[in-house]
This record gives sequence, C-alpha cells and structure tokens, in this order.
Amino acid sequence: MTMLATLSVVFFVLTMMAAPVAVSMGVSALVVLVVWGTPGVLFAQKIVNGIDSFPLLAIPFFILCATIMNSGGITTRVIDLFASALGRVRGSSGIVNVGTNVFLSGVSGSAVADAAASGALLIPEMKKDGYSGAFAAAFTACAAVLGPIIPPSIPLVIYGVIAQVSIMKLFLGAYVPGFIIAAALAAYVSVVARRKDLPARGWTSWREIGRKFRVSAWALSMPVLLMLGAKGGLFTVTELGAVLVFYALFVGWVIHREFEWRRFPAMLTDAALQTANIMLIVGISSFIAYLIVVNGIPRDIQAHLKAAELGPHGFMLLVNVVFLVAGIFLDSTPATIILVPIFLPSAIGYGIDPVHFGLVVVLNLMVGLVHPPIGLNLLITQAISRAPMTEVVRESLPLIAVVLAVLALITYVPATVLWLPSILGTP
Amino acid sequence: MINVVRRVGETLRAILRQSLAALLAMIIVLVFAQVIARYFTHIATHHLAEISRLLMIWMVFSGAALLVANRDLIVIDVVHQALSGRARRLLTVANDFLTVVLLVFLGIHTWQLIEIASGKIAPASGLSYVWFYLPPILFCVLGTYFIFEKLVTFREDATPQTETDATIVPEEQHS
Repeated sequence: MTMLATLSVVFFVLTMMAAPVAVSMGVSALVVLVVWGTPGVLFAQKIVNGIDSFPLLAIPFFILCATIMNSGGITTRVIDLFASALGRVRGSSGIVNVGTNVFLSGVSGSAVADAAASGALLIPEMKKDGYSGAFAAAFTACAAVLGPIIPPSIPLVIYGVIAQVSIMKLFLGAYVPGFIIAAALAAYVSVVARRKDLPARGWTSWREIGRKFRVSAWALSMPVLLMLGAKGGLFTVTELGAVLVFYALFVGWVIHREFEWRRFPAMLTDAALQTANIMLIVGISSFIAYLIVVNGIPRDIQAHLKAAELGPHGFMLLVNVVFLVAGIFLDSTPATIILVPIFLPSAIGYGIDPVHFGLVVVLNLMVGLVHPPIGLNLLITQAISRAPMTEVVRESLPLIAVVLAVLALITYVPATVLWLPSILGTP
Repeated sequence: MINVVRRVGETLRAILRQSLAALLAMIIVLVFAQVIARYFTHIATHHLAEISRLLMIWMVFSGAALLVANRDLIVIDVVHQALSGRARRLLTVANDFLTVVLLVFLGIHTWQLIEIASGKIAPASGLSYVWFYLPPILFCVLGTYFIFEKLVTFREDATPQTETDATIVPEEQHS
C-alpha cells in the first residue's frame, strides 16, 4: 500500500506540474523501481509487451475511420438527413445533435473526436435555432460522451484487453446503455426547446426525406456492418476496424466522390500520432499495473472490502465514486489500466459480470470528459462556441445530472448491459 | 551550429511524419489481407498478425518521438495555464528535464533487454526479438535529440526580433 501511495503522490504532483501524463507515469514508476528495487529490464519489457497486442491495433483504425468519414462527406450527409426528418420538431437541432453523435459513435469510438466533429457542424446550427452558445457547447460535449459508449469504442477495447473479456460481447452490451443515454439527452433538449419556446424549422416533403435517406444509406449502413460483424463473429475487432477503413474510403471516394487522396497521408500521420499518444500511456500503465499486481494490492483491497462488508451494491457505489473521481483528473486509458486490475477481482468475487463492470467503469470515466474543472470535451466545444467557460460549465451541470442518473440505472440494473449479448448468444 | 541542429531536427521530423503514414498504411493492408486470406484464399496468416503488431510498436515509438518534438503528448495543464509566462517557461524546462531522465533510463534498460533477447526468435514470423525492442531505443535517441534541439534553440526563439515580437510568448501546444 505504501508503494501505491508513493506512485499516486508522485504521479499527481507531476501531472499538476503539467508534465505529460506518460512522463508523470514513467517517472513515478522509476521512483518505485529505485526505492523497491525492481529490475529495470522489466520496465522496458512491460512497456513493449503492453503495446504488443493485436486487439489494440483496432485503435488507429477507428480514429482513421472517423477522419475519412468527415472528409468524405459522410458526416454532413447524415446530419442533413436528420435535420430534414426532424424539421417539424421545435428546436430540432438539439435532437439532430444527439442523432448525429449516435451515428458518429457507431464508427469513431472516440468522444473527443466526436465532440470536435459534431461541435463544428452543429453548435452553429443550435445557435441558429435559438439555443445559447453556452448550452449548445455543453450539450454537444455531453452528447459526444456517447462516442466511447456506443461501439466501436476505444476505452472498451482497452478494458477488454486488460480484463481478458470478449471485446465483441462488450460492444454488444454497450448498445442499450448508449441508447438510454441518447434518449435521456433527447428528452432533456426537447424540454428545454419547449420551455424556451423555440420555433420548428418547417416541413420537408417525404419525397425529399426519402431522397436524402438514399444518399446517406451507404453511410448509415456502417454501424449495421459493425453490428453484423460483432454478432456473427465474421471478424475480430481489429479486422473490423480495417474493414471499416476500407468501407469509409469506398463510400467517400467511389460513392460520394468527395474524398481527396492527396490529404490521405496527412490523415494517416494524424491517426498514427493520436494512437501513439494513447499507446505510450497504455505501455507505461501496463508496467504500473504489473507492479500493483505483483505487490498483491488487489488482494489487499479485496480483503479490506470483505472486512468492510460492503455487499455488491455498496461495492458498485464505491466503484462509481472511485472511477468518477479518476475520470475527472485522469485520462481514461491509465485509469482503466491501473484501476481495473485493482477492482476487477473484487467485482468477480461479488458475482458481478465483468462485461457489466466494464460498461460501468467506462461510463464513469467518460463523465470525466464533461465534468469540470478539466472536462476535455467541454474545452473543445467551448472553443468552438466562443461562449464564456463559466456559462458553459453552468449549463453542463443539469446535463451531467442526466448522464449520472442513467449511470445509476446501468449500475443497479445489470440487464441493461447483459440483455443484448445474452439474447444474441455472443460467446 | 544552431542552424545545423535545427535543420537536422526538421529533417528528422519530416522523415518521422512520412514513416508514420507508411507504417499505418502497411498495418491496414496487412490486417485487411488477413480477412481476405481467411475467406478467399484460405491461407494461414499468423505471420501477418505478428508483423502487424511489430509495425504497430514501431509506429507508436516513432510517433511518441514526434510528439515529444511537437510538445504534443497528453498534458493536464489547468495549473500551467494559471502561471505567469516566466514560471510557465521554467516548468516547461523542468518537464523537459524529467522527460530526458525517463528517456535515458528507458534507453539503458531497453539496451540490456536487447542483449538478453538477441538470440530469441518470434514464433510466427521468425524475426529476431531485437526488432521488437529496437523502437524504444529509437524513441529515446530521437526524443532526447528533440529536447536538446529545443534547449539549444530556446534562447534564439525567445529573443525578441522587433518591438512587436517582444510581447509574444512562445506558443506551446497541449492536448
């Protein structure tokens, strides 16, 4: 436990000094290595081994896929379809925002990428409808939380690798929670639109909606392809990522004729850099997770929890608090890799399904993306809306409460996660 | 001297950018080839999976070196933003120093690992494990060079050229 405290204190101090997260983790691990005398060769070996994983290859594919979609005109067509279909609803741009994020989630897997993509397109539209810039920013940031929940999801891939759980089962388990959050956010924005008496944009003929649907059909079929691949066991998660990249290229270049090949090398470099940023943390976290396991910390925690007689409900409450706080101050990748090995054995001991546990963990960590003071999604959408940060934070509080209410439901009703994988019979 | 250091740095960054694009493109093609092989040509592709993983390791460490060069590693900069320009620069130098310490330590121990693993062969592709452990060395060498470059060029970059420039604080990128 002294080792864990040393790791945490050094890491926290360095991170607050604005040292890169990977460097803070690496240096805190070095301190432990020197004080506790672990062989340094293990440090190098565990970092490389942490990265050397076939399922983790899916991460650059999902990032690249989102970039290709945005530049191939796929995202704009889907937004156009939603906007036409919902034109008769008051303040429809809010619901279009949720629908777009559900769709983007179905192909990108990253909340930050979704916040940037949907924010640039939809915050101006929401402002045109009469929403304040601050509300539009806060709402888009919260809607983008769907990115890592609805498959494919980078945090779920990382959790699956760490917890040794079927990633496809995690993906299927994430659909219902994702749609519950989407429905809750859509209901909330409808109430706001009604209260502010925002106007409807007007009718679009069914013929026009049908035409826009045909134009977007190729794009809309991407999440279907993903679900079929996941359910049917046609591809591994990594292969699915590669197939989606080729599919997005095909739709953007051949069908929509908007994809520009001259920009492709820059897209590849950008996706590789984003992946390197995540995977460097994955590698160093793997070594810290190794230190934690070798020093018997999960066993000690399990003993403490047993002595405290928490019970499964009390344990899940504790998990929510720990991961929520971790999500506010930490990037989701190190939080998953370091904390999951500590809490997962206890969760299994309480009879909690690792798939259910994984979804609760990831959702908690994602709330950190919209939770002040750091909330990366809020920073991105606030920059797009140019609204004062204090107003954006104020507008985000009720939205965070909505997401937390859904989180409580998912925590205490495991069927919300486990129902779909069980009826589809995923191994 | 400063110009030479800067020019070498720019060349290395350009090479890294091109390499990253090429590595990711190769990984995508290799993984897609596995799907084709499974459903159409029915050829075993364990070696392709292993090579994809190897390329990923090279991509991650080459990318990490470029991220160090661009100061683009993930940072939580809430406190940093509240500091004055001078304190911020001092903190940046301190963080660069910490990064070098980490890189040197990682480099030394990876080298020891290479010596241990030099006789071992990867099971599917038959490649030496040295290829798997070389990328961290590349990261350490290039990362240290880029930080050295920043320190060498720091004074010149910070020296105001005109009266207008005197008010500009060197920009740092944080994600």
